[in-house]
Amino acid sequence: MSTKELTRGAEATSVKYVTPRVEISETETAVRLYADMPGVGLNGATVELHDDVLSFEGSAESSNGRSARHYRRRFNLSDPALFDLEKIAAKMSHGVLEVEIPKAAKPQPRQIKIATT
Amino acid sequence: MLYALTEASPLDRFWDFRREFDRLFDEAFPFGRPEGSSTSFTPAFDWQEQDDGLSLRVEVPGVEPDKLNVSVTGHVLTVEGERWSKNDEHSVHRNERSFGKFSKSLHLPEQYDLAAVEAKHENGILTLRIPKSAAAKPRNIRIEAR
Repeated sequence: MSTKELTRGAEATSVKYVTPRVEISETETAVRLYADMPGVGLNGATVELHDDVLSFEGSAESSNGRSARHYRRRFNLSDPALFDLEKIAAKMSHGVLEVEIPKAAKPQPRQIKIATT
Repeated sequence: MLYALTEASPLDRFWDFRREFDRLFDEAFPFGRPEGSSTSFTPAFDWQEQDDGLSLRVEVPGVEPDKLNVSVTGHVLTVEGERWSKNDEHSVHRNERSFGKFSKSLHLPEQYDLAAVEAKHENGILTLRIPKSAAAKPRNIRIEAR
C-alpha cells in the first residue's frame, strides 16, 4: 500500500491546485468517494484511473471577481483486484463529485464432485 | 473494514491531522465546539461591492435546492440551508466534509434595495445580487455651461 508522492514537482510552475475535501464510504458492494468542488459543473470535471491511481480534477470558472479555481486529488487503490474497474461511475451534483467503484462479484462457492474409485 | 483508498499525496494528510485535532478538542471540551468549527457545515462566504450594488457568493456544495433558503426581514438578509451525508455513519472511513444546518444573517445598510435581491444557485454556489436603491446609486449631475 503505497502513499508515494506522485507528481508534485511539475505543478508548482503552472496551475495551483486546491485539495478538495472528501468523504469515503465503503459498503459490501462498493466504495464511494464524494468531493466538494463548488463551482465545478459537469464539463469542468474529470476522473481518471491509471494503473491503481484514481485521480480527479475540477475547474471552476472565475466568477464574482474570483479567479478560476482548480481542484485535484489522487488516491491509490490498494487492492484493484477487488473491484470491477470497468464499472466505475462518476457524477456531479450541485458542486459535489461522486465516484462509485463497484466491488467485483465474489466467486460463488463451487461444489467439487468426489469421485468414487 | 478494508481501507480501499489511500491518499496518494502525503501533503494531503493535513486533514487527518485536523480530524485528530477536532477529536482531541471534543475530549477536552465535551460541552461542544464553538460555532463555525470544522465539523459543522459553515459555507464559505464572500462579497464584492460594486457601484450599483453588492454581490454575495456562498459556497454550498451538496446542498439540494429545496434545502436552501434566502429570506429578507427588514434590512436583514438571511441565508439558510442544510446538507447531510448520504452514507451510513458506519460505512464512512474518511470524512473531511462537514454536515448539518447553517444560517447566516447580514444586516445591510439602508442604501441597498432588499426588495430587488436576485439569487442564482449553480454548481454548488449561491450568488446573490443586491442592488443599491435608485437614490443611493451614483448619479452624474450635468453641469450647465454658461
